[in-house]
Amino acid sequence: MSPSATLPERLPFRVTLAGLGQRDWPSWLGIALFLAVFLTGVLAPVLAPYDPVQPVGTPYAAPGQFGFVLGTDTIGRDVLSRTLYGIGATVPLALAVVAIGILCGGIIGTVAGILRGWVDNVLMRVADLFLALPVPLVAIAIVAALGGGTGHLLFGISLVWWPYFARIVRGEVVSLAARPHVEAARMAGVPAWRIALRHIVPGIIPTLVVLASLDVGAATLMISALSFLGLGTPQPMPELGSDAAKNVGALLQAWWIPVIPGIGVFFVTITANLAGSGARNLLGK
Amino acid sequence: MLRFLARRFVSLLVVLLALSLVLFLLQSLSPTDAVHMMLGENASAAQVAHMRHELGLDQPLYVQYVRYLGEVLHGDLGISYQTRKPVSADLAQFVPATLELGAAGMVLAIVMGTLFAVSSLAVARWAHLLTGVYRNLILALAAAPPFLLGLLGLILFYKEWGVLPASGRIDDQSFSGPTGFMLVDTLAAGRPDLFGNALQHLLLPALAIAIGPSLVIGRVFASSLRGTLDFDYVRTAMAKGLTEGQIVRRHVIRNASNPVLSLVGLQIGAMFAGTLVVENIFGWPGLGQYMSRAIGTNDFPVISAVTLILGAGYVVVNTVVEIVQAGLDPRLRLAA
Repeated sequence: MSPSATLPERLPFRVTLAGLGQRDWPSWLGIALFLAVFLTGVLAPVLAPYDPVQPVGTPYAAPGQFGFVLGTDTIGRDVLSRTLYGIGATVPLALAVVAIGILCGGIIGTVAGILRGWVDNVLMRVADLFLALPVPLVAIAIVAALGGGTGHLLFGISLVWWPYFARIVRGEVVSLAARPHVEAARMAGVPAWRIALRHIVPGIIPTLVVLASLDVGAATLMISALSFLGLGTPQPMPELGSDAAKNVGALLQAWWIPVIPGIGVFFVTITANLAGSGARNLLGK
Repeated sequence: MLRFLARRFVSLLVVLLALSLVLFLLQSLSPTDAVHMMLGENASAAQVAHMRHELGLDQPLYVQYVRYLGEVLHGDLGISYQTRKPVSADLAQFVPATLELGAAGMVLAIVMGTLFAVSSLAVARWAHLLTGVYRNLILALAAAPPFLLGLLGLILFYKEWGVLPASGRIDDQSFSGPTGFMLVDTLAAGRPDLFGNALQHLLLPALAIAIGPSLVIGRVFASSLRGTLDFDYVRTAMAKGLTEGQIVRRHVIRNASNPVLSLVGLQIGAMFAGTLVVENIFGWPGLGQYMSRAIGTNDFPVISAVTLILGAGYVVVNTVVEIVQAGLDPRLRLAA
């Protein structure tokens, strides 16, 4: 098969990223909304009206009652403050999971795609093995074995997250390596590591950006599920999933206590998904 | 086909071995020490050493792994630190409840996914202006965590409208049957009233876990349908004068369903994870509640066993899906 037959229809790196200059307002709006949610979470210490851990008012105050915008929980802590802090704990964690997944998966996929041969075989077999396992369940088992907490949560989810990226990146690298500019570089005697860094990695970055941004929502849902099962930061620290789980019993008297943290997860996920599809539109994938 | 089946079987075994290896390694890496969990804090050094020897923990890792594998194959999944009972005995009690919920969720996800796919094509065709609205609605639903859907379902259908029950599998607590599957047992006992009651209990939790996967299935199904509609044989069928319904039923659905089938298999993973969470909201006496209690008490043999059972189920179902696909489409047999 001649390389030219497999040439993908693809623009050079700079031209692809030039898509970011487009005035595609709906796409930018999605990205802006996610940034707003991210900032709200990160700035929780400034924005939250009350301390998230200490009781500050009458328990079970309804939203709007006694000046608590979203009410208070079963022991009188401010639900709004807890939810803001919870978002602040969740979003960076989701971004970190995706960043680690992209970095590990990207490096492994690039190495496999450039070196080919047995290295490629071994790495992709391992990735396939992971992909054949039920990712959420394995993540739960890993975090449970290590004993919960934010660091373990991050480690456990990242460990099952990379194979998916590795597979896609490898495919992309293999198709890029068949392009004429890479062939020309190879014939000119450019060493493999330099070909990788200079001629291949820039070409896969748009794909990585799109994959990463589309995945933040999924990571958020996974984190909230694990936190719901009690695998996140231990109470009384505010966290969306565990705040909902601990207060399921209060649902029928005071719906806002378990529901509002869930709505927090919903906001993070939907804005992340909107930002992801915005990034995809702008980068033309 | 035989060659294909043999290959699939071997890869099934490899994946199951990998799963057991992961769980075994987690057990030995885990900071919670099995011996301390079983003997408590005040055990003497001699007792600890004795127990360690009894459990084979003083032997090299690979010997321990072979031993673990042998026990698992004999149906021995370890002793729960908490209840001190064999985990397999507890599992026998909880597995049917979770399987019933999972199966109901899967059926709902496939039905709703098909409806989403067909309706999104219909919207694109007849109500073009609504496409954006429809797409955003689906995007929004996909962003809702299963526990939020469960909580909202409880508020609406139980508290506000009072049409569905809030917790458990059946109102009549004394009822039990041989299989542990309420829908089967109530029918076998000739009690359609209890069957209806069990179905009502099942509906909300099944919906809560099915909505997410149904959207994924619907999205892929819709794009697969759109792709299939572009084929020449569809144009030929149109030229023959078949109605649109006939074309979709006879020529499109079967050809478009292959990618959907593999997706259904993969979505079972998400479905199981959703089940673990949602059971805690609906007081569903299954693996999810068992697992949550075990997480709270660091009861790793239980966590490991639940993961092994659900994980093995997932791997087996996906292998079956691949075989069914190859049965439907001979090209897949040759490619593998």
